[in-house]
Amino acid sequence: MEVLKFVIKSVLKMFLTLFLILTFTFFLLNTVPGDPLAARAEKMSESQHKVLEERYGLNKPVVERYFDTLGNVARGDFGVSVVNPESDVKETILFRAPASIRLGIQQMLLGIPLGMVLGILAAYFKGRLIDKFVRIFSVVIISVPLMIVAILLQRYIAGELGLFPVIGWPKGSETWFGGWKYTVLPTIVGSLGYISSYSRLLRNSVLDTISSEYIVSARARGLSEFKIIKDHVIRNSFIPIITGLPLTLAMGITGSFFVESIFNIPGLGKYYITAVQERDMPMILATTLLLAAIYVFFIMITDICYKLVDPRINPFATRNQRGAMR
Amino acid sequence: MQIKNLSINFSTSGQIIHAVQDVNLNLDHAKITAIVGESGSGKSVTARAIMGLLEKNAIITSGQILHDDDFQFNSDAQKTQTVDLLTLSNKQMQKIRGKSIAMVFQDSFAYADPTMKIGYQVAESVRAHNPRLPKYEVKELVIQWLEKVGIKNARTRYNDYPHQFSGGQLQRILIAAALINSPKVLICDEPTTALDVTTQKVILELLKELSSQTDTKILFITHDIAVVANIADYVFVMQNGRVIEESRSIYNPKEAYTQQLLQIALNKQKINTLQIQEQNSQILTATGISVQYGKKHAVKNVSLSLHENEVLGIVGESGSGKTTLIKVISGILYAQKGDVNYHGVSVAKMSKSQKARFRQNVQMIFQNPNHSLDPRMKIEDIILEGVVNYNVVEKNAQTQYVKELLQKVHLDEKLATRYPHELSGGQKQRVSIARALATQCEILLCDEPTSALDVQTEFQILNLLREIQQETNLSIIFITHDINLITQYAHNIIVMHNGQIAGYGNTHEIIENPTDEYIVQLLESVPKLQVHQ
Repeated sequence: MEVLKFVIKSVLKMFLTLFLILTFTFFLLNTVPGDPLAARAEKMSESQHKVLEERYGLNKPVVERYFDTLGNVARGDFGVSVVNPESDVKETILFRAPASIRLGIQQMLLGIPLGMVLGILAAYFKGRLIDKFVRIFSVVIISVPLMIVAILLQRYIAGELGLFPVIGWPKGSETWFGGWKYTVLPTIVGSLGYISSYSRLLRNSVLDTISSEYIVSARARGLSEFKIIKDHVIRNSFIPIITGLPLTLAMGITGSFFVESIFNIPGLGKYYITAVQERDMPMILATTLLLAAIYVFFIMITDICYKLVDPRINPFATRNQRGAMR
Repeated sequence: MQIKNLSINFSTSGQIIHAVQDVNLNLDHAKITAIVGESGSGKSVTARAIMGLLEKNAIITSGQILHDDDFQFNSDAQKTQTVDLLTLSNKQMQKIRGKSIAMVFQDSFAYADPTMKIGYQVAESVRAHNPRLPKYEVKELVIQWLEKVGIKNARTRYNDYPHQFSGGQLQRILIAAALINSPKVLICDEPTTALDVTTQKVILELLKELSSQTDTKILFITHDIAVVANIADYVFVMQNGRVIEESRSIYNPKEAYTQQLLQIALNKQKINTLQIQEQNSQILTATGISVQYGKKHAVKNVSLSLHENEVLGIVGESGSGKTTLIKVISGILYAQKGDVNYHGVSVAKMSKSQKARFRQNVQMIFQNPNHSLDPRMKIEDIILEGVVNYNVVEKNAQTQYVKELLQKVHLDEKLATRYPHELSGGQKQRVSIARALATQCEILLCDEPTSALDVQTEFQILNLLREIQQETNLSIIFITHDINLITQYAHNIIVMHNGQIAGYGNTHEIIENPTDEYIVQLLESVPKLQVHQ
């Protein structure tokens, strides 16, 4: 019962948050000077301008437009793009989202576990070769722009060796599954960030755990080093990771703009930036809402994960009880 | 088990520290052997050396740790033989740790994995040494042992996590985890230091009982000579890494150091008969103080009054509300109900200037001087901070003022230009006292000011506080968990229990004729030395 109550509460909160985000974004967009038509105003006659204003409802007062938008969103209608009048916003997003989501998932599936394993090894063999390698690697990855790595890979692996295509992305029936050769290079480039950040995070976390008293206590019980790592160190080292994990997931799914544009992948990331540059209001609203929904959803998942790993934390407790526990 | 000529050095940033020097110990004299010594005496390092759990920067320069048991890693298995533990590899030691020699540590919460069910943690001990034992048998054995150490509903509590237990219960569980393989030797490293006295008593009795039932020998490490007197049959005294004395009884020491420790402990059992002089007026009163955190009452309906030149002791175990109470008195925390009056003015209704006066006149001394002194300030700046703020003395007289204060707390005036980390714990706490006195305060609130210090230093600090209190007109509220500590000094004491007052009155009367059941229990739990000769 407790759990069900918590989930229902969280879902309601999630919708409230999304509503607030929608409201906020809408008014922010409308207070910023200029509208999507202004950029093109020079090329249009007065009367054409008026017709378009009428068509997109830009001549109505802001508050009225706000309620129109709310009603439309509630019905699942996000309108049409102002910049490309022929494309429906919802359809465009649904068409472009799969590429971003697949790319994100593949990057994370490769990067996070690999980063974690490297981090654990680096901590356990502190000061040894693998530790030095991990530390140098993460510094290099942070300081060298991903763009350069991507171009180098395109040039040598794809171009000269011809192992993979230089650009492109699987389409049609292969959208979610298949066409792997197109995805290899973008996945590798995108995963480098995860590998470097997660290996450093886990290295520090494991070092903290290894020096704690309950590890001494486990040794005193005669446990082997392997068992100590497996049963005590790893689990306790994951607690700080879990705070960051859902946000990483959200960020990963919401796309990596650079990778998408270098490899010419028809994803959301690239499209979102263009929409913002051109003040394409329906497009910005819809994408913002989608990204926000993904974030809020994953934050909800965090609380549940916490409970599973660390029994001391009870996300179902009231704030007061929680304060007393910490 | 026998330890011969053991010496251990630590190398920290180029310096070599001789932690243990030429130590000889023999556990064959008695069932329960104790090592008593202050922090830094090398007693814990010796224990860890036996377990092979020393830090990486420790170097064993000489010695042997001889241990008799039937070792299974040799070809002629099951035969009792003597080995030198220091010659064994880590793999071989794994077979001895938890099986033949087990250990219980000080802070049960730190030494239990917070994310693992306690039943599993106890079961680990069994499985590490009997990997072929079926799972349900392991579980049954664990439950049996949990019951043995006094955990109620052991079968359901098997699946609980450490934070769901109290410190005392968790320590019992860790004792079960240590004893479950019936080791030859159990090392207890200050197993009751982090516990309340009432819990300490129960744990000590449990250990005594378990050792009488089995043939496990106990090596009990403590700083508390009264605990030794109550549990051990043979005692080694350590100081500065050396064993300076060993005997069957703690009562007839030969060494001056041991005599001093014993004298301090005996003094603590004395009760004063001080009375407040009648002409002394009340300077601070608290009436009906209640503080709630959520639904829990931290302090409930507490009233007290403090007279001029009075020492008021507040005694309570952890969670009794004593620290919350002192926060309310000092004005750091506002009570939901009740009022604190200082010279007839309510603290809550004070004007800004009155409040500044109040802050100047009511000073605090905290538990841990390592945390309460800014590490980046010189001693003189620390002492002068309040002086400058309240403009106590003229600028050109400040240096002289610091000198006088340092003299008052018996510190060398040369320390004025040093930093806190260059001072010992006792010296730092003296600086805290000087800092409080510097504002020429009227009331000193001491929140466990000696609990981070060694026995001898504690004694000196208490004497210093008394000296200052008698010389000046100071009133002191002294908070402590150790009822023995305050009975020699306080005019009046308050005993707190679960946020409420269990007893309040003249020290002598409260101790000699306790009216409350809890006070009786508390007094009985305090480990005592027999006063004879």
